[in-house]
Amino acid sequence: MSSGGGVIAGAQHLQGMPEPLTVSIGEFRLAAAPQRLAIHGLGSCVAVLLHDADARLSCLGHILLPEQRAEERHRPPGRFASTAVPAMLEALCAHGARRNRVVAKVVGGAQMFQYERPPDPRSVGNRNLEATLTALGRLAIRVDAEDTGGTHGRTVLVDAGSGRMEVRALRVTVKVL
Amino acid sequence: MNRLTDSDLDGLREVSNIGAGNAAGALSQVIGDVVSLEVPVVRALGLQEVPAALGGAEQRVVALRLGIHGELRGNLLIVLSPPDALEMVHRMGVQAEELDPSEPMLASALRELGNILGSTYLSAVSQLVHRSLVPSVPGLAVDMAGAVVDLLLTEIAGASDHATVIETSFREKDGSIRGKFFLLPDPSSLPRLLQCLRGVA
Repeated sequence: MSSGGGVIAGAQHLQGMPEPLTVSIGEFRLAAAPQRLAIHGLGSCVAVLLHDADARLSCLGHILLPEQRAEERHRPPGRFASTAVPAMLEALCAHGARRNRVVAKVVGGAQMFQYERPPDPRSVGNRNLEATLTALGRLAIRVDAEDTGGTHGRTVLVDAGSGRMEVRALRVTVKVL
Repeated sequence: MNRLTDSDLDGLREVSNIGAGNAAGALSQVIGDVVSLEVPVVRALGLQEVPAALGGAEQRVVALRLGIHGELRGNLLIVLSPPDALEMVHRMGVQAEELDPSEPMLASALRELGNILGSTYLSAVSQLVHRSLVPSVPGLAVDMAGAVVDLLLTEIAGASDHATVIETSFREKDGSIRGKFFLLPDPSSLPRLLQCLRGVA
């Protein structure tokens, strides 16, 4: 799994509430109850959560770019929506998840910088969202919840066992998906 | 292109001294006080390390971003703390109680500041290396540092695992205003920039 830019977490830290593990830009991490996963300061990037409620397993990805182009083949798959989503599903299934039980939550894809002209519909954030939803659709993964777009950054906290996802923004109330 | 030699580092520090030095001169006129620079810091950072260089992923910042087009490409980011940004806007004659970027007068003053500082910085660098660096119109964001910078990393992540970050801090001599310039050359432009600098040295 290290080849996927993914890291396994969880299970071994059972005493007390473990600190959430940060999923850095362009990587994904797999975790089981009672582990938590976090992404801090998400802008035009997309956070995608794949969760199997029965296996109590989650995989959280921090996607930077929509499609992996030919000359980008040697970059980690976690960076691109088109490669991250299949790699995440494979990682989950390799650790006991079942494909047909896996559902997704999608967060982020904002347009952070404001200009005097109107917002760009082809912003990186929008293209990241589109590519993420396309990759999920291709694998027939249902999207359970979304908090996407807009012009503000987000911080995401996931409880791996339940798939509960907390989305925070500066000066915006806390949402639970 | 992850290894920078000592002479490359010297060259990139010179870029920063010339660019930020001229921008500091322009800023002095805007705020009516002398602005001094600290020694530039040049680093090749892993992509995931960049938010920390801006003060931490969740740190609330005011960021002005200018894309760089022309013979050399990249991004210039001007990062201020919200109180410092508000103070600068006051010195520009705009009355604002709080740093709300949806307030047109405030946003327009900050973009104007980005224009002045960014175009001064980049035209000085352009003269140094004899290549065109054309600034885009400035974009404004007031949000978490990580959220602000990830757009710049999207422009790098396809071509490299590292971002070359040229950072210069500035501060007002007799007042409280501080801020930072971050120049991030595109990975594809970095070799050409270094080559130009060797020609200069």
